[in-house]
Amino acid sequence: MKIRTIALSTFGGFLRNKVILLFCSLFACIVLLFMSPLLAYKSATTAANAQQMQGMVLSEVALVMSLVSGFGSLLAAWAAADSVGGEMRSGTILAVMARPLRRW
Amino acid sequence: MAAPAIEFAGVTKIYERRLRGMSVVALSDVSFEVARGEVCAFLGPNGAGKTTSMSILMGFIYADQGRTRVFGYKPGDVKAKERIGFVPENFAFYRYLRAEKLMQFHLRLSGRTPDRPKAFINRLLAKVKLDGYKDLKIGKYSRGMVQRLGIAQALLGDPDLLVLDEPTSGLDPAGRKEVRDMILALKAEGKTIFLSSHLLSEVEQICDRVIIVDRGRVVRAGSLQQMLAEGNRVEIVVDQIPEALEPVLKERGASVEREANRVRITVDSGEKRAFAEMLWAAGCDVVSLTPAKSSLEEMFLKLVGGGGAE
Repeated sequence: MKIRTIALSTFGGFLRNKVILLFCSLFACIVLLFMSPLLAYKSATTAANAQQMQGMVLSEVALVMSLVSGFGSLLAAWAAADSVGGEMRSGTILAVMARPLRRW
Repeated sequence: MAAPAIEFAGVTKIYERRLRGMSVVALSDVSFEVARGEVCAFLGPNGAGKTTSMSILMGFIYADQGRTRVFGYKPGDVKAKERIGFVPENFAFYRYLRAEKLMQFHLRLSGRTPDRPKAFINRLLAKVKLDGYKDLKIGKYSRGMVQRLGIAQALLGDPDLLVLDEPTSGLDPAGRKEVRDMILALKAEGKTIFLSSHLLSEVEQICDRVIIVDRGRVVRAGSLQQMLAEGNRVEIVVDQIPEALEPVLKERGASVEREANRVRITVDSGEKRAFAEMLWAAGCDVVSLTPAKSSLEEMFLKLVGGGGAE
């Protein structure tokens, strides 16, 4: 419950960070760019190259998924570090640390 | 016997600045206790070690030496924190939140589950007179409103001990009075209050006990009443004195202060009888004879020399 509360608060702060939002938007554009060949694959698929195209689609999807996964991890680490740093700078962390929460 | 609310025994804290090869002794062998139900002021000039002590008390930082306990638990222990409400100096909140949301956030973190959380929060906001500002974002609050919100969030867990770091700083006289009244009301409820403040006249009005620190050491600790009364002087009030007697009194070390209908004569405690008899013999009517009280400010300045630590 307490961890969820802190996570939600961090996420709320995260959504208000304009730099992170810009970075996310750029990443979404890159992902869309990577996914655009998928549209072409469908029209280019024939009975003869169906298996080859399927392989290409799968590798494309795998690439996009790994990009999303990598970026998601990076973003989570960034959000956590930025949240703690930001709270220390603003002083809001004191009120949170005074609560009965375990550090570890 | 129940453990005291706060216990510091030989606490030392040294801040090391390794790159510069410097070390700053913030606290040196600090020992004191605060009993349950007391309102205790923690006083000292800037840099005396007040905030460091409070940070150790809250478990934000660790002491290098010594023993610290809060209701018998180590500071930072969840069981200790469940019983503490804390208002830090220069309190800061998420400026984008509204008071109610912030209170909900802290209520969840406090682990307390009242029957009707919303009503409970509204009651607390009403207690600090913020119930009319629930729709305003905290970023638009005045300093006094933020301070009051700080006190409200500190009360969320129904704490036994309130640690208030400069609770009235930045407040106007009306706001200071509100906070003062609130502290007195909490004292009446049996809560222990440990506060730091530079407003010594206010401390005099609300505190039972005073601990004065300077340059990381406790220079004085004791009950406020005792501290203020223990000056070695006695004040004799008479209706009037003959003109010729005044220089004689002054020559013997008394200070004479004439008022409209009476004269105040302050003398050393050991000589009160001799002075009283002299006044009586001169035909003066002695109205009262009381121990002269010094103000906390006078005592504070005498102890810390009026200067902050470097």
